[in-house]
Amino acid sequence: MATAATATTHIQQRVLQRLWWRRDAALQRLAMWLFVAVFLLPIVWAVSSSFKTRFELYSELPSLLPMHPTLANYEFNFRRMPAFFTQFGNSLIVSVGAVVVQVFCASLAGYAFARLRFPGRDLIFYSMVMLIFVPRAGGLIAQYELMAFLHLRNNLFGLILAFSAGIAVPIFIMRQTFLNIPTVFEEAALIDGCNRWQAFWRIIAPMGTGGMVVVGLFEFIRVWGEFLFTLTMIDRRELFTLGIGIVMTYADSNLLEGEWTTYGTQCAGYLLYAAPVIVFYIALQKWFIRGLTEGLKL
Amino acid sequence: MLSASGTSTGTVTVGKSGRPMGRRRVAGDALMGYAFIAPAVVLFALFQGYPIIRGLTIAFSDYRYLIPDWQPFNGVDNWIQMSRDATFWAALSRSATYTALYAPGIIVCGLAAAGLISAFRGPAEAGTYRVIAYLPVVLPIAVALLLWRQLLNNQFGYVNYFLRNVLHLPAAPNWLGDAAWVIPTLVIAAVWKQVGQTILLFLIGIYGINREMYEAAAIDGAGPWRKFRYITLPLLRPTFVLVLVLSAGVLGTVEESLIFFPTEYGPRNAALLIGRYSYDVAFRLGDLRWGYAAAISLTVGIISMLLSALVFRTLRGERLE
Repeated sequence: MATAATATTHIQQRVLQRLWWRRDAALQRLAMWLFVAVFLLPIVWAVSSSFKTRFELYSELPSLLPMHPTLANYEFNFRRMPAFFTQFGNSLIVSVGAVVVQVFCASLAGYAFARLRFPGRDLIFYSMVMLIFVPRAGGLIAQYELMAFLHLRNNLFGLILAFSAGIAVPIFIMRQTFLNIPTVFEEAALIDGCNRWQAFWRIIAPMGTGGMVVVGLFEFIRVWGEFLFTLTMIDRRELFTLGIGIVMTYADSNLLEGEWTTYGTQCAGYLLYAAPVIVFYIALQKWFIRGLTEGLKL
Repeated sequence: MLSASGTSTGTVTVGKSGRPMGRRRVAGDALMGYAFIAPAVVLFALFQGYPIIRGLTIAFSDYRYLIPDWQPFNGVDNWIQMSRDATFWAALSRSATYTALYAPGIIVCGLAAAGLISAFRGPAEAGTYRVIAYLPVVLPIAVALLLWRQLLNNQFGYVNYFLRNVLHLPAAPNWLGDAAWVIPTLVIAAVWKQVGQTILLFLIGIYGINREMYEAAAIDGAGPWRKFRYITLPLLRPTFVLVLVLSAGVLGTVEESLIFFPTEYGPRNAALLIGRYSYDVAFRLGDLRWGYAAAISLTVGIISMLLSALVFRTLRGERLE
């Protein structure tokens, strides 16, 4: 009698518990979706607005989806901004240049810090890493002075050098990468008569491509979206990157070459500017998680 | 030449640590080492290291960029001036408000989102949420801020449309037109842009917690809230320290103010944060007083470093053992 009663309560409890769990899971998913919806609102707004006509944009009831989708906004960006392609090109030159210089320098240095022995090695490495945490007091001012002195202001190559110099974390990632490669490979290469330089480029560097992709990806995204430094170092319109161009064109006023720009044209411009990083990010997302966990070991 | 020195010493040697190293070329390695790190070290020293030191010396001078050959050392004059500069104090207090809103904002949103995401054990689903969470971080800052500027537009933005016509609030805030709302608006945009970083930091912390602790707590009858309160929160202490230390850095932020209000400072100068003030003193106002601007940014840097140290000491101090 007593045992039967406890058995039923047990079963009841189990069923109840499972129902609770299910309810919890449903609530969790609901909360998550709500969060995602709020989180993605600016993106939804941008995509939707960029396909809207101007009447729809400024109507009393803004709709979530464009009712009369139009490509006029994108067309406007291409047609009305001949500067668009120049600026896109400048952004591309600076970003790709910075990626190439930084990946090259960080790989060499990362390998040396991981494998070669020389006096002061750890001192140099750790002082570079520690400098990340020193506040940049008037750093931009001193950088302006330096860049002007070296005739690197208003110079895309100057931007490339300055951006690739943010190299402490990349070196750290490359050092980790090379530390994870067993020493036997380079020892074999050295025994076979390679010198260090050859051993590095023929054997070790190809094995470190994972780290290089991570470094390159983060650098590309950082430089493509950079605003303040570029704004400070570039005055000449033909050297504007897309980030500066977009803000100069759309943030100051709603008038562009005498024509009224709508939220739609602005959104189309923003999306065209952001497209490369979004595409890279989605396509290469697994590298991001890897890069972030690597960076965290710091 | 370097490669020649690398191959010339091919004898068996013993490393500093005393263990045999096989065919190691110690002298050649040292030369090679310096050659390998040279490009990176030169770049870093020139564009990152030197400006830090030079910035310090500028801060103690009356350097005015537009006056030729004018950069006299002036001791602590810049700080004496600062103490009398009402604009400086107003901007600093706005930045303090900004930071005081930003830090809890990013912690609450980051922790809530990370808690939610960590509840999904399916790798595909959780992975999708992680990708979405990090998306604003990779977005160019100008795009993120300008989109929020539109979204919060008083007349045509989704947000106020929602507040007025769905929630039927009598008065929706005029986000960028009302001096009282400008800083919260900048904070909303900045938190949205940066919270992905925080979410991932918290997620890494949560994923690192041993699941057996939750199972043990469940056996003892603890519900989700108590598990969160007595297991997750205490064990995430290092993540809290990291996130707060990073938040202290936003005290000197420039971009938000500069992109939301490119040519002015908003209603009643409400968007004039201390970083923006220093930037404009250096690059836009009068005869470009670099000395004064550098002194301001040094002050801000020291304050945020002290804040970080404070966070570090208070949160690290009471370790649960």
